[in-house]
Amino acid sequence: MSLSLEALKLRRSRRPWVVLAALVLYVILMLFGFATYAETETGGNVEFRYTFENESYFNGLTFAVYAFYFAALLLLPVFASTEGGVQIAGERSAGTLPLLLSRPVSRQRVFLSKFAVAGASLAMGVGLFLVLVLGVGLVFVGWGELRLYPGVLQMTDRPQSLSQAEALVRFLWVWPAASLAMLAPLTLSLLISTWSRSAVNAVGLSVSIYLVLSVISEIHFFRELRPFLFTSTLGYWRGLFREDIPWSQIFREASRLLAFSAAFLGVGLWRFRRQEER
Amino acid sequence: MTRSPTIRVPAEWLFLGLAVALGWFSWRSDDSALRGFPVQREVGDLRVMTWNVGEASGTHGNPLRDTSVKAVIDTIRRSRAELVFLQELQSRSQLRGIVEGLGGEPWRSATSGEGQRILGVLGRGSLTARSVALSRGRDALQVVYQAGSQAVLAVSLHADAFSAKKRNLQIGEVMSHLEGRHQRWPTLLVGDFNLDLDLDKRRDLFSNDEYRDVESYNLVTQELHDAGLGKGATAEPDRRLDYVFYHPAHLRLQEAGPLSGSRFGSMDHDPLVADFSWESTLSAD
Repeated sequence: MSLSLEALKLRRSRRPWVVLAALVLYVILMLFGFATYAETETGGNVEFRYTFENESYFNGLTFAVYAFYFAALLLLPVFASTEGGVQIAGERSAGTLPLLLSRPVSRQRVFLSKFAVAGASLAMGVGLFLVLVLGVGLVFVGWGELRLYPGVLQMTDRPQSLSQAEALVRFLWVWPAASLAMLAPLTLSLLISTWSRSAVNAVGLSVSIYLVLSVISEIHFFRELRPFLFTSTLGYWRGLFREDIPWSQIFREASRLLAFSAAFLGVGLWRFRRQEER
Repeated sequence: MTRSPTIRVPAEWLFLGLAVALGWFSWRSDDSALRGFPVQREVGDLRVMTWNVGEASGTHGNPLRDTSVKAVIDTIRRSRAELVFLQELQSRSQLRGIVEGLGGEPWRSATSGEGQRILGVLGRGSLTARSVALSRGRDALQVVYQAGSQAVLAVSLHADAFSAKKRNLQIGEVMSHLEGRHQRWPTLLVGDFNLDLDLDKRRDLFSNDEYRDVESYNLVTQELHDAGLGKGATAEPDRRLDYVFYHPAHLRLQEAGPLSGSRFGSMDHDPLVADFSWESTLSAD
């Protein structure tokens, strides 16, 4: 009952459409930037320099990797934070939370239903976005083998190549892996949402915290802090694009993300079960 | 009939327990802690070391100070390397001082020229060296080193610290210089390349053109293998700037890594050490 109610509320909400519009705009801009960049870099119009690239480097699969990489580390976590932030605080600021809690349903069920629906919608969003970037890559650029080089998007530490079929399988694996990564910002914002009386504040604070942690986890000076920030491992799915997939590293980093998610969820639930609604 | 009591654990405690269990698994299985080069290991057919011995003090840093020479000598001894490349030496006489400190014979040495911040090489055997003129910045140093019955060709480079464009040209020219030679020689390209492309952090904070550094690195790795890959930082702050590249046709990498704890005074680099065995034997001719 709680699950279907939350799903219904999500379907009637404008949030998924706003997210979809933002992602489509992002893909259009990426496509434009990618096309102009590739033309410049392979058209012989640049000053001479030593290069490792060739003309087949810029294809639809490379486009999909570029588009997904930046979205998964910058855009999707912000959308996840937004989705989590509005859950409890949104009900509270709209005055619907007491009504929701007056039903014969435990607070735990209410909380976990919200989490389950938000998590499932994010997973669907990640999957749809992958389909979108791969489709756009196929239609406007054309697929081919996926070549990756050290330094480019921090995907690999040695030059490598995946056949088209193998690369598509890897994209399929990336779907659950990247969806799992989104749980950490989602549960963090859900936790913040239990404390906040305003959805705007909850979302703003969640996004701010995400961005701060994200910056800190990438700067050399904070090496000692990195293991304790969930943002350090948010891009762990990149390993799935390696020729030799580092499975132990992927399991380790996925476990770390799940640990953060479970901790945020546990504290959020603990807080939600004990608070008084006015 | 009595019902057995059931213990109900609140879900939040289950989640927190799950977090602890997963966190424990994740941290326990973390093998990414870098241990550096194990100097105690048996020396391979060829042990190579590269080290920028310059110091970070002052506005633009300083070449190796005479007061730090003893620490360099001690580190070379400790490393048991037989072919040692040094960057940022103060003078040719300073290198001669290091040779004397190592006990003289059988050590041989050469430098890339006169003046400040020169490149030097030390070898425990026959050594022939010459400068490789580059269109920008300091010359590179080419060395033919006789390791037992096997000759090795090595080029040492100290790439520009501030301009990715200059680095790209310097590295590109050295690669052009090496072109085709690895078929005839076991080949090494070593030194301080002043670029860091490791996977786990932002690189644009220390480069004025990150993309060009990516180009430079990939140009090298199309031909040569990176011995220090995945072995951790060699310089402050947490950057991998020093490299030993080798061609796999004649050399097999056994072990490599930074020799941590070797910095003295205000030095900002650790030595990078690599152990090789011969993949195939070429005629000394």
